[in-house]
Amino acid sequence: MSSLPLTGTLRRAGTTSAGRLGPLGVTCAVVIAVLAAVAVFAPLIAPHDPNALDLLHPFASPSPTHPLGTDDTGRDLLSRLIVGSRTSLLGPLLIVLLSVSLAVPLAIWSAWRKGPVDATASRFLDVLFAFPGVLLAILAIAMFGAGLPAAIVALGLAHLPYIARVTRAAALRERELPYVDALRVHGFSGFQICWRHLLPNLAPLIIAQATVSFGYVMVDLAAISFLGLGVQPPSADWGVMVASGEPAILAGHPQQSLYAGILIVITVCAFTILGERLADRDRTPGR
Amino acid sequence: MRIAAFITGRLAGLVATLLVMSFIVYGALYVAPGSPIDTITGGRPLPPKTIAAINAEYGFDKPFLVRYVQWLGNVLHGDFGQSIVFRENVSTLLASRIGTTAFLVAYAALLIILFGVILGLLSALRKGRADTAILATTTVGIATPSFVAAIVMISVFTLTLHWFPAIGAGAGFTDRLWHLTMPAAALALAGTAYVARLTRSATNEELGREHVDTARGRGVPEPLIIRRHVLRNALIPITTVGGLTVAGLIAGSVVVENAFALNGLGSYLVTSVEQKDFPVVQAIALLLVAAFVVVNTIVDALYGLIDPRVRVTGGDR
Repeated sequence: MSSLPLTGTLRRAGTTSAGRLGPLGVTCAVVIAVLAAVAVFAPLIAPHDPNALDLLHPFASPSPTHPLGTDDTGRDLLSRLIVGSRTSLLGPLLIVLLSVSLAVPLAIWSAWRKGPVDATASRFLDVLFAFPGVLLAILAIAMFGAGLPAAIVALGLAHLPYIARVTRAAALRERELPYVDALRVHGFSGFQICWRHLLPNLAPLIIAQATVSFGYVMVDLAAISFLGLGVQPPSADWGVMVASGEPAILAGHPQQSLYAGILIVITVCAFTILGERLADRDRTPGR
Repeated sequence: MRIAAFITGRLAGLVATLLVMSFIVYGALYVAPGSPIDTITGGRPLPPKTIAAINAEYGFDKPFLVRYVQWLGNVLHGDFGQSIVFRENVSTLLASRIGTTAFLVAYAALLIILFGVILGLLSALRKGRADTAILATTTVGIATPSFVAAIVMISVFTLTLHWFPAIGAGAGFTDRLWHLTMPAAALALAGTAYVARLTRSATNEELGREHVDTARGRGVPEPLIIRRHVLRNALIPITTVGGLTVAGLIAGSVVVENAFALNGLGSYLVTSVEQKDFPVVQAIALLLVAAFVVVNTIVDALYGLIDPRVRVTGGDR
């Protein structure tokens, strides 16, 4: 890098990152780390095969062999929740990655070029914004059939405007800073300035927005699976588990739906709170 | 005069957006793999003559743009074509279901506006413990998907307390109100929490303004300050975001109707997707998206009418 002053508005020197997240933010980060570890090592942690039937012991009460009991076909609930964390977390992750990888270049480019490029991009975002995510996903599923891929692409597109708008607004402010002019005078190309200087300075904000988006996207994707249009049973997935446990609720066995539902709420809470904390941390006072 | 120009502008935008939406909805299903003829014939091999007859009947043999314009023209006359599965007019099939969805969304909207604003005001004006409690509750509320709220409500209010029925939409106004209370509450939960949060921050922001200090200094009684100086200004962001949240309920109803086995547009949309009944999917998707866009535009226009600054500057949101 050069010796130019590269401090953007979004970067602040100071206390450690953990200190500025506050105890609640740190707790959320820990919860997310634990969930991620569980998802990665799921097959090693799960005490039973998540799909092993035991038709003689449906709706078993919690016991040492089945710490959370069993479902209507005698499958171990704990194992299904553990293995279910994989699609439940991987799906939203892919959606957010897709959104970010499309939205960020589009936003920075249109903020950099301004004029007609920016206007066209903004109209495009407005149209996407006007299409509710869940509906877009259902339409995509009507086209390509039920399953995760269609839902992920559709939700990725539907959440693109949220990330793009925040990034564009920040990029518009950032490009007016003196260090960008300095880089231009030194003969750096627009692409170099965007890629090597604007993007790193905007990264904290993008990460914060992506973290919040993860939470919202997870709700949408779980809803699609709940409707029977996303992850297909008998695969263990939290959204699917809420749906397939629903008939048993009226028979007095709400455990499966409740546990899966509570896990979804905890995960979404952790992501949205952490995302808000990250955004607060990167917000310079007085702006 | 200026207001008329403002409204005309918004209306033109609305028509343009609706056209794009209708094109997306129609085009998406047009390019979908798998021919609709297979759905009609159930995949049986048929003589070419029969297939040609079906093509002519449903208009499958015409070019895309012609079919789109034809479809759009029919839609504007309230004709959404024929259901492939039921061989019945889509409009007839939808007419019996639209009431449930409209009732559900209106009910949920009412709950959101009522409880969202009350909780938010309570949180901002009381401070202290009430504020902390409401803040914590709304954080969890925002993160709770409607279908999770649904199963919790069914287990508590149907199974344990026997207060509300878990399925069905009911007949007649009172019965319907009773049947749709839980679905509307499940649908409204996240939005209520969100509007409460927003009301809280908007009110807090206004409370810290200099004009409020000035009013206090002039000796204006506190209730009047809250009503005239704080609420009036805070209402601007509350109307906008509250309106957008209500618009979001239209898509959210799809999930809630399935959770409570309600016979509305949303549950029919999911069934039609599973059955590949494309004319029905197109019709419901278009109706829901159009309702969403229309509500958004109304909110946008209201925002301009409440806050004259938007009309002058064209709105810098």
